[in-house]
Amino acid sequence: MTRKLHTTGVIAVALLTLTGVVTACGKSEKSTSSTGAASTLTVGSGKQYRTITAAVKAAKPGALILVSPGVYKEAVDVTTDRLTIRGLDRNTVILDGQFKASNGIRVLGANGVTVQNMTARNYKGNGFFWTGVDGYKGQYLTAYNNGDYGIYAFKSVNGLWEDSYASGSPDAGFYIGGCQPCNALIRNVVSEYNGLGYSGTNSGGNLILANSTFRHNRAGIVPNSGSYEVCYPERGDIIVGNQVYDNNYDTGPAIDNAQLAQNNGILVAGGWRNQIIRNRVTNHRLTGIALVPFPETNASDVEPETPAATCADQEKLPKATDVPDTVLWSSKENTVKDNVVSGSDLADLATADGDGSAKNCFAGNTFATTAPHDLETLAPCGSSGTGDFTAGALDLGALIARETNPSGDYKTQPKPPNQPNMAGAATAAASPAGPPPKFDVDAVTVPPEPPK
Amino acid sequence: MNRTRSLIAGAAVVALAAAAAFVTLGGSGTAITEEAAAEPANPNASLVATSGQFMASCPYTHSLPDDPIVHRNMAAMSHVHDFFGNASTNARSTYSSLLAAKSSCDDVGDRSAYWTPALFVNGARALPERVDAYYRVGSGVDPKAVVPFPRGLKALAGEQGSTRAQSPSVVAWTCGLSPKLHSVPPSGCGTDNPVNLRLTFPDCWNGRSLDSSDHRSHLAYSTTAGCPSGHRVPIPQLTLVVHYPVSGAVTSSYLASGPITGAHGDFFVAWRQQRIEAQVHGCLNRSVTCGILGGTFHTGPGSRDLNSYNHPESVR
Repeated sequence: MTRKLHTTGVIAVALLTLTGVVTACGKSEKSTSSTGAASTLTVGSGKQYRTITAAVKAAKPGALILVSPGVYKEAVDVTTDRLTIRGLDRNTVILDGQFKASNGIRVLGANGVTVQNMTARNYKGNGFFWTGVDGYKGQYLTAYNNGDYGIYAFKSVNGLWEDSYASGSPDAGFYIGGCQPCNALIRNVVSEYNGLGYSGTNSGGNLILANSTFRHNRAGIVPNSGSYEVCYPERGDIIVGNQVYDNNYDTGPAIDNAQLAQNNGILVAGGWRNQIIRNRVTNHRLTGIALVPFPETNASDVEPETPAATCADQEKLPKATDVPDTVLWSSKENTVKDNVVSGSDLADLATADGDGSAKNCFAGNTFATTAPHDLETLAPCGSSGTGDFTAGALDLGALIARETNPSGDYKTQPKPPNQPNMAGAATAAASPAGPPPKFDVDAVTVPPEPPK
Repeated sequence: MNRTRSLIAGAAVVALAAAAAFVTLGGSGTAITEEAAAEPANPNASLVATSGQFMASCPYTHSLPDDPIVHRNMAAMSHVHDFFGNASTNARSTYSSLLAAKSSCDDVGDRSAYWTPALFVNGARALPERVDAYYRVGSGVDPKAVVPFPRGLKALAGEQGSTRAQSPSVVAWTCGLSPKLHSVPPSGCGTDNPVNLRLTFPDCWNGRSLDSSDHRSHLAYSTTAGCPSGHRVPIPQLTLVVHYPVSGAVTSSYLASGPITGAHGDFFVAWRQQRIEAQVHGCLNRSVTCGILGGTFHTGPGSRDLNSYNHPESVR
């Protein structure tokens, strides 16, 4: 008998003790105490709790909450540490906001909370939302047609999202913002039909976005900076091995930043020292990979020369007393290396840097066009470049000024097809979140060509 | 002081969580391999930025010469007000009638009534688009001590009769969320950051009455020392941002109540109790950002955390 099965026995006994109901999932086993083992609570028709909210309220730190198939018209708040909230079937355990409620699951300053194997749809705000936490994990999640973000972490550190899907949000499908260092890993996710596939404002620092698919959004991957939230500037993401294609969904749902960013694959809109490596970026009406400044009106502060080491330290710094009407957040010292970029109407690789002073570098990429011309000669990695930055330069003003379609309705975006289930959802142990697992960036290769 | 206290408390919470994690892992005999292999949870709670906020965004609903606080049950006795949030607000509104009515707010739990005097710019009526209601913790107040509003509380911010600039901590005009505060609607705002009126309401309650004869003395503002004696109960601090579609030159401005310097606003609390308790306990007591301005009523770049803006501290 494996440890896992043994644990299941303990859980089954605990259930019997609590409810007197014989469950289908375990054989009876003598156990004197469940002390130390995380308790399990069940949710659904005929289960211990009818709502996820009721189970969450009853759960002690470390507990496992198993949710049976059903449509749960709730907005769940979690304030208990280290809960694992898991659906028994990703596609039929559905949180539904009915376009009235704000968030499907909202984790408020509770550390280590894991959510697995379920769907959240039709929320005015977000599908799954962690804020102010240390330790968060989302696995086998589906979020669609939510009014802000699909899957969202704010002012939170030590996160892992994987094997998840988000579509139909006017802001981003996946968003990590307001953390430094974030210590977070997003891998094996799919994001489509959103305003932005991934957005991360003022985040970074061991923030890895890997082996994921971003397609059919207005824009694919868009980290950016701005003083409208804490922890600026954005810096230190690793964007590696992603499949980014056809982000030209011009009629899709979009906040204004998504309209501004649309038709680009990977767009750093104000960001420092990001590594964009071994991604495949295909078919964009503007650029494949571009590094541009972000113009912020109404800014509350200017870009710091040397940012504080952590978000909390930055919050304590005094703000600039004289802030210009428009603050330009620079994109500098970024590395764009070994990507395969094709089918970009304006340029496969681009920078708005007019003289090389931003010290971005481009090397080893496979591409056809760049703006300015000969970008890998102008701004190589590890050596100084030569040439004329004004030849074929990117016309940023024209891009900002262009007309775009207004936002489409997030409520009517395509329903996603069924998504893969978590293996062993009924039997796996509770799995509270801590720091993300170590991730071997060097082992990641360029993904194959996208489907035609 | 407020910040230090919450950081210490945060560190304690994390330390407790770490201790509890060891108990669970040791006792269960199950391998949570991923976490076990990784480094222990970072004990430095300061990695997580702390500042509580929740918000509601409420489009303009209607205008009436009514005021259910200052001219209760006396229809058409007031200057013209623009109302937001609750769609039924009139001179006879009560807490019960508001709770039973519909609201324009994006948070369905917020049935509160918000109103401001009608604004005239360059001689013409400037009809507002919406209010964004930011609920935060007043300066000097322990976030964990903040309690939900008493049901049906009535509150005023700003002095209708003021003929001089009021404290920018209470009344300020801005171009959008620009940090520059003005005592009158500024001229030259851009179309993407048009004129806002920012009103900050008192955040300390006397613990007894929902209203008072002057409609003010049951409430007070906190200071860096917290809530003053006589008004010891800290409640959420509402900063109401009124959005007007006014940009370009402003050559004259006045209010239906009189001179522009007399800007003010009214707030009649009608949150559904379960929702306001969840928001106060979940967001303010725990010092987390729950709501930012998202897709629904979005007009500016990105999302907004008012705590990332300079705002006048030490409101008096």
